[in-house]
Amino acid sequence: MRKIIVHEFITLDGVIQAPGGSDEDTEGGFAHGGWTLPYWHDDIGAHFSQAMTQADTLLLGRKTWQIHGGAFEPMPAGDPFGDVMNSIHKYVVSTTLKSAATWRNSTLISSHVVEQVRKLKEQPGQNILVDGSSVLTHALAESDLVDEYSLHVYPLVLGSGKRLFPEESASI
Amino acid sequence: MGRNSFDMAQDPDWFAGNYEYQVPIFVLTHKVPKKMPKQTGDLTFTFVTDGIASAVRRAKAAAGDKDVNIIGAASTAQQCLKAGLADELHVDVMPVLLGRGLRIFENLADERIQLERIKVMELPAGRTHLRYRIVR
Repeated sequence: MRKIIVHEFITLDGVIQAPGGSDEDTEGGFAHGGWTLPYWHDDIGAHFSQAMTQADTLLLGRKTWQIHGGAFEPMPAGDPFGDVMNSIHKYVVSTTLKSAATWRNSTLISSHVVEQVRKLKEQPGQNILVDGSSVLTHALAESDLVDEYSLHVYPLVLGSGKRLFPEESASI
Repeated sequence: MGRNSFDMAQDPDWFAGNYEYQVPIFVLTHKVPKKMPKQTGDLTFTFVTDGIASAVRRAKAAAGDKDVNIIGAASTAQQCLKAGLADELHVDVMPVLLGRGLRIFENLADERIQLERIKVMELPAGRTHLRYRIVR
């Protein structure tokens, strides 16, 4: 069966909110957005490119899908990472979206999420990658659907923000 | 050492001669126990009731050139981090997600603590030992 691999940028205290920009996600008054930026290194991009060679599907929550789509959809062809992100098949999980047309090669999952993800795993194919998507990763973990965590741990403690492993969740 | 860690020994006299650190121990507590636990030439107890900063200051004075280890789970470590009293953070990460329980990084001010990685060790049974310097 295909693997679901959750890729996250994460702080030592488990925060995954808004790693890439100050305005990315300020929910809950989060003021530390963009905490990965001072550490950018080409190896990080290389790691993701490598992970993408073994994957053929992205599974994303609505917010992460919108942020990625907003960044990659307008990119002209020829950007190596942009081309990969635009051409790979994407599933976006959302109960509020009406359509997934704003980012090419996207399919909307709006109900029976766990069942649909299970079906996706049973289909032949390569790895299914998840990144960001805190609400979705919690739901996947609760239903025992995550096969691997691939974590880039940053040397930071932020003290607030959305966490990858929330309180009152199942033990694994 | 936090009071909870001190209380983990059913018999406080057990520390003398048995505990892995036979050194002066400063116990951060609100209440001094009625009976002083057994002490030796190496292991002594001082019960500190006026806060973490005082406990750390007194432990540092006793340690001289040597390091002071903070032993304690959540509360003592949190107070140290929050007050900026620790120089290094050593953690052993076990390969399990518990989903509930006391967390080390709670009750901190909503303020970024910048770390610098000193060491990563892969240990048996899936443990990962991490050492960080706390940057000020």
